[in-house]
Amino acid sequence: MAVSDEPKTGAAAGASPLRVESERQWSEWMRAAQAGDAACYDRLLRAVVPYVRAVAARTVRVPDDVEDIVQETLMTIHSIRHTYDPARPFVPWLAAIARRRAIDRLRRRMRGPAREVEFQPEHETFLAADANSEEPYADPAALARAVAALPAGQRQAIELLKLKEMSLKEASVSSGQSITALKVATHRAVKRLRVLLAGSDGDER
Amino acid sequence: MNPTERLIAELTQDVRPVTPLRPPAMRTLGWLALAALVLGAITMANGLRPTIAQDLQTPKYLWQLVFAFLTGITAAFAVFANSVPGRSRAWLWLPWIPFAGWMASLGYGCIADWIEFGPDGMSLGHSVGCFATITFSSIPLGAILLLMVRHAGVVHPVSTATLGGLSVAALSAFALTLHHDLDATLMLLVWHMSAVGLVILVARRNATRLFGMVGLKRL
Repeated sequence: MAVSDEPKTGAAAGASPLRVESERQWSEWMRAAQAGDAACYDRLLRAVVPYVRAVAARTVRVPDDVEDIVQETLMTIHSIRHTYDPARPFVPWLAAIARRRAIDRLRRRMRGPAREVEFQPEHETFLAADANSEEPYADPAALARAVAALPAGQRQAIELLKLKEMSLKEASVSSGQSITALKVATHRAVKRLRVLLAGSDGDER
Repeated sequence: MNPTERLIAELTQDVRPVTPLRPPAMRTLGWLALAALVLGAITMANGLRPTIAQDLQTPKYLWQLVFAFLTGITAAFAVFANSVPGRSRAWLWLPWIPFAGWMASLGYGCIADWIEFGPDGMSLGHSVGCFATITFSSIPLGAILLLMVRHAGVVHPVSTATLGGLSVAALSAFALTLHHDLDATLMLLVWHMSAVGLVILVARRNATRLFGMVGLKRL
């Protein structure tokens, strides 16, 4: 239980008369907010946002995180606003909350990668068990032979649409065939390939 | 309107008047009053030790009582100060001073026993009762203290729970010293300190869970 580094805001604040002024103002707004004054509370929350954002930005670098810290700090201020003692300076109270939220966020950042595994394409699974095989196709040579044995129109359709992964539109432009013709050719080619591959490998389908 | 502004608008709508907490010293007194009720009841149920009047004349007994009590109070004060954001965290060190005194008084007691009784005064015994009393009376005290500082969960959960554990265990040990009739100081040292250590450890380890149980959730 080490005594942690307490925010040095009090001392830093003393350096600037403007800051001292705004501290006093914030303290007054907070006192009014504790009494239920919504207008003062609104002014206070808006006024502290840049300060909290600065505290957050010192701890984390990601802008989204900074904004999250700001929002979490605002929520904490709201939930424990009764712990502010109007007789004491406001900024140390605010700074302690902001720093705590920033440290929590930083910890979550550090802990996250250790516990999480990034989603990779190979983690994807499909309903059909065959589709989850890591090997795209067990025997590429047989497939290449089967494709070569297709009639020219069907072979072109398969090459453009399946092997080069063109869209129907691109394939239509590239081959000069209509989209409908390409669809028909592909459908027939796949049917034909199934037959050819089933012939070469007994346990395929 | 960006999310932060939207949040401010929501919070502002929800601003009900709240009563600021009283200063830590006042809250410590309030907590001591509640603790006195609980520990008084336990002591009444067990009855004061028969030799209490003359024991209070014995320095080794008196110092143990005084330091255990001071540890309990200062730890409670540190809990109340630390549970408020922005208070100096140096208060966290305060209770360890009387705690050191407490340990020293127990050590002194051991030496005194040795001088008085020789090796016979060093019997360790099996005082599971001591240990159990401290741990069990720490539960109601801990529950009261936890409710009083339930807001601390969002700022300093671990240090607050640790010192809260020290406070309740020290006060329990204080009350126990008033009513149990064990005389071998080594026994007190071993059993009391293991009970205090256990209470602190349980509180510290479960800080977040404990604060999660009482109202204010971690945001």
